[in-house]
Amino acid sequence: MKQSRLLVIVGIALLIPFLLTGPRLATGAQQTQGGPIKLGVLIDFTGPMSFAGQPVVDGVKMRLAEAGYKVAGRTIELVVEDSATDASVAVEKAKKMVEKDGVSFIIGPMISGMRMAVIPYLAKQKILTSAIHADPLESSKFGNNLIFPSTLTMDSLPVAEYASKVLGYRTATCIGADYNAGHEYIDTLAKQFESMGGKAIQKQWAPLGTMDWAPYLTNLKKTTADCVAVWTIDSDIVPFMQQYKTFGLTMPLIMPQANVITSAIVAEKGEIVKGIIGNITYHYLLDYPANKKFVADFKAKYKRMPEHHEAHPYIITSMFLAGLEKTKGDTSFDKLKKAILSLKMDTPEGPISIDPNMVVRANKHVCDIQKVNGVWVWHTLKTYVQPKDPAY
Amino acid sequence: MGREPADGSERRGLLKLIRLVPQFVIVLLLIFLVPLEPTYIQSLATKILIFAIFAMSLDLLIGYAGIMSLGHAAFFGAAGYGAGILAVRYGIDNIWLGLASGILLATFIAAVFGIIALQARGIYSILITFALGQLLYSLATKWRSVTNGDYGLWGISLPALGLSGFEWNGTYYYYFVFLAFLVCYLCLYRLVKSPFGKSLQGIREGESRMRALGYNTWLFKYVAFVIAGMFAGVAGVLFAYHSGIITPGDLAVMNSGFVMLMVIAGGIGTIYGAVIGAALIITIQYYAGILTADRWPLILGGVFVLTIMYARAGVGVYFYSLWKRVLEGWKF
Amino acid sequence: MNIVMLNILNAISYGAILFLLASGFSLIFGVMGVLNLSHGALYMVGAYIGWTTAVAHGISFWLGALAGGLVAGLISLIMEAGFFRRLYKQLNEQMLLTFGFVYILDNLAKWIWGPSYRAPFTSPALSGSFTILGSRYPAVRIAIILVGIVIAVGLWWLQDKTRAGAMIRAGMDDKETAVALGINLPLVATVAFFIGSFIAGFAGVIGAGVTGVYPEMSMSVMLLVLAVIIIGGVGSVQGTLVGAGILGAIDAFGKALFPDYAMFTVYLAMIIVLIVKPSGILGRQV
Repeated sequence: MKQSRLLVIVGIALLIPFLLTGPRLATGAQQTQGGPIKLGVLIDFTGPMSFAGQPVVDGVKMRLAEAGYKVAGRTIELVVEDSATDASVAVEKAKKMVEKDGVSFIIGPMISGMRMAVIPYLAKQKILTSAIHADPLESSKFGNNLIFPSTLTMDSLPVAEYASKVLGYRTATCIGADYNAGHEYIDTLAKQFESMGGKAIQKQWAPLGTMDWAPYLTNLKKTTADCVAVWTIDSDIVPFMQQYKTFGLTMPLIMPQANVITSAIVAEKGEIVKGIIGNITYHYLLDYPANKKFVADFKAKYKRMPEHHEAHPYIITSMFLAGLEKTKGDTSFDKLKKAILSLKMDTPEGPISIDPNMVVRANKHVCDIQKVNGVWVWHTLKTYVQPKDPAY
Repeated sequence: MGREPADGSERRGLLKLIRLVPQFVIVLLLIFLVPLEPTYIQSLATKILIFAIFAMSLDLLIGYAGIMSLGHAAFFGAAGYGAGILAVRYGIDNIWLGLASGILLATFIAAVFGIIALQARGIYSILITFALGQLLYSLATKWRSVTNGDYGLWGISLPALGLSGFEWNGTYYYYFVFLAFLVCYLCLYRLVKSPFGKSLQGIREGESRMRALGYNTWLFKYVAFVIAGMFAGVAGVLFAYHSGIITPGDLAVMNSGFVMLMVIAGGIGTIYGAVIGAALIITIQYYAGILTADRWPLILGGVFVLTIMYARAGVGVYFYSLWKRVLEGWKF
Repeated sequence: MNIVMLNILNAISYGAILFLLASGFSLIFGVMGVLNLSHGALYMVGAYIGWTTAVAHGISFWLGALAGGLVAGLISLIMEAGFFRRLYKQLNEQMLLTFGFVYILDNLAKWIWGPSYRAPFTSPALSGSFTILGSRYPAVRIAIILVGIVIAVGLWWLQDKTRAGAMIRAGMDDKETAVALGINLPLVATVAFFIGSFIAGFAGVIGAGVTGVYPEMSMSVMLLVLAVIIIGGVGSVQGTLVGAGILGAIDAFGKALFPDYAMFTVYLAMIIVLIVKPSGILGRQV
């Protein structure tokens, strides 16, 4: 049949140019001196952590828009990819961003486990990266990781100190989400608390997605402690607090990394979540000049109040741009790293400086939940100025 | 029946070779073209070959033994953890030991799960395999001291091949995986064409009939289950080395569903179908993800639905029948 | 309140939530043989619709629950007419189709409502607590138990006491004879599918008083549903009740007695049931 013969001939004919295109060089190597600078954002748009995706991009875009998408005479292009809450996908996308797009810096991925998969690869490729929330101190050994807003310990230490020194609590009963982050936050808090003379008398672990806190609250009813140390994700903390109250429990609550209770949740459910004293890196009422401006601009542009999801990437992008100003647009790894390490800036989270191991020293705030001008908000009780992780 | 003319058998030999042209071309492309591509494309090709092995193993189960499984990723992930734990927790720097430990672990777990899973038939085997897979998933999440919990076990670097002076890179690993893929493909191909494979198909089409004929159908299905688990284990170890990390999600039902989709999309009951399905689904997911970072599941879900509605026999089977018609047109 | 009594009440209220989740699914699976993996997604969609009605627009909560059920039912009709009908009898393909629907529904929900978590909401009448046996117990949970009872009784009455129920059971047991007797099985299947999905959407709104709403809940709900029917068996209201009750008890007492192994006890129970009676405690023999 002539048709099939034709089909085969056409097929082979199409194959030939495909074969003849020859070696396709990895054109993606970043251009350190001229041409556009590529900034990469690798964050979850799908999967359980997908709430982070758009806000992170919004924060980055806001800062880039302020700079007119230019720095030191070079234009900036944003490359955004989905890490799908999956470590192997994150590695895949990171490879694409480095080898095809030629990014000079990758913001994200968010989750510690995924970061530990991606950071070594980026270190080998000599590409800088930054977390959006805290990173384990261990990750600084690769030399390319800008740890902002700080190490995991600093999500607990300030509130542990406040509970111990200011409020005088001696005993704490702990309840945390039963997965890595939950264990990390609660174990770190307990450790810090005990290093200050307190005692963590009980630890309970609840699986993610626990709707029914009754078994745990029942145990809490049997316990006497000065306070309850709690940490879980936003979708679990609200039912927890609701049931905590309806069960008639009255022990005060402290919480590491309380940013999971976003300002939006506080505004809507303040009546339920009030009573928690939390470790906060960012809330929109922080009293810094840079923050007042940031919040006003953000609200005008996005019609909502910024959370740490947007503030952190905004600040990281600021550091990236400031570093490039210093290197006059040179994105090569050693020069940019050195420039960033030398930065001292005023940010919406207060003043920052960077230690040689690339851990950022930023203010931490111990806050409670209050009604201010008719709106439930995080309210700063005490500011810890650029505290340092004692582990280094 | 008279003697055939001399050039008839030559023609038949040539005929056999011509039929294999698609496979031949694909193998040539895989050997020569891929290494010329940028390394991140090679990485994608490596992932496709790994999932091709994974999908072929599931096809043995679904397409030949007729056992529906929503827990096949358990063996994949378990092997990944086996190799990962050996490398990260025990520091053993030998790829052959890593492969062996991962595959043995997967096979062992398949041997145990098989006894439980084959208790029920039809849609209930889906439920059992799902429960078993999720059990392993919750174990991987909770046993943090060994598996590092939901963060996953990171830091799995490619262990030594055993050749002095040899340094891994992405391209070398691609070839390694490609060789593994060829071996698995040939093994599974021979297996399904063997009497064992034919008996499995007989069981899939009519178990009571086979039992009436005196076959120990349970044993056949069990052996198939374990072999399928073993090959899933091969894929799992290769995957752990490829990503450098293994997470509980790699064991979970989403991954099982994902690979099942590859088998269905490519064509059940044909080993090559699984390969094509793997290539199709992974490529679509990758490029859809780049096209739209947040809406790509709509594309993938849409592809799922369209494939099942309109290419039920499988895209691979469709292309194969297309090729057959071309051959017929050329009077081959 | 006595601790044991409290745990029993917890078991019952959690079991009620599980029953609401699983009852619709069991009906659909029992009648059509379709493992609708997107059942959890329908629950989620119902919850979102309820949220939009009750919270975003301040309209009556109960109207929101009704709307949630109707939208879920409508989606199920689209699924049935547009897709499942064309795959008549191909159960594996239908199941895989629902897998694809999960991807689509999840992402659509994220697109429409955004990926962030919505805090629990309920009718203003239910936001307080009752004092039972000396302790305060949330009204919303009592409501869930009552709704669960109403739906259980309703489904049981439908199943055992009505002609429609008899037709459904006939279809489940012996399709050929049922068709021979003139029963319009495709219609029965569609109706059952609609009812089951309506319950899912309705339950989503009611249950949101405890869980809130977020996109990933479709998967977590689905896993719970599968656990309930694995333990209790498919195809009968009684089976779903037993499954939900046992799971509720395991959850409450498991967490109280073996707090570190909560999830394990659930899976262990599933495996034990699967080994001893693969079709579930009250399931039809397979």
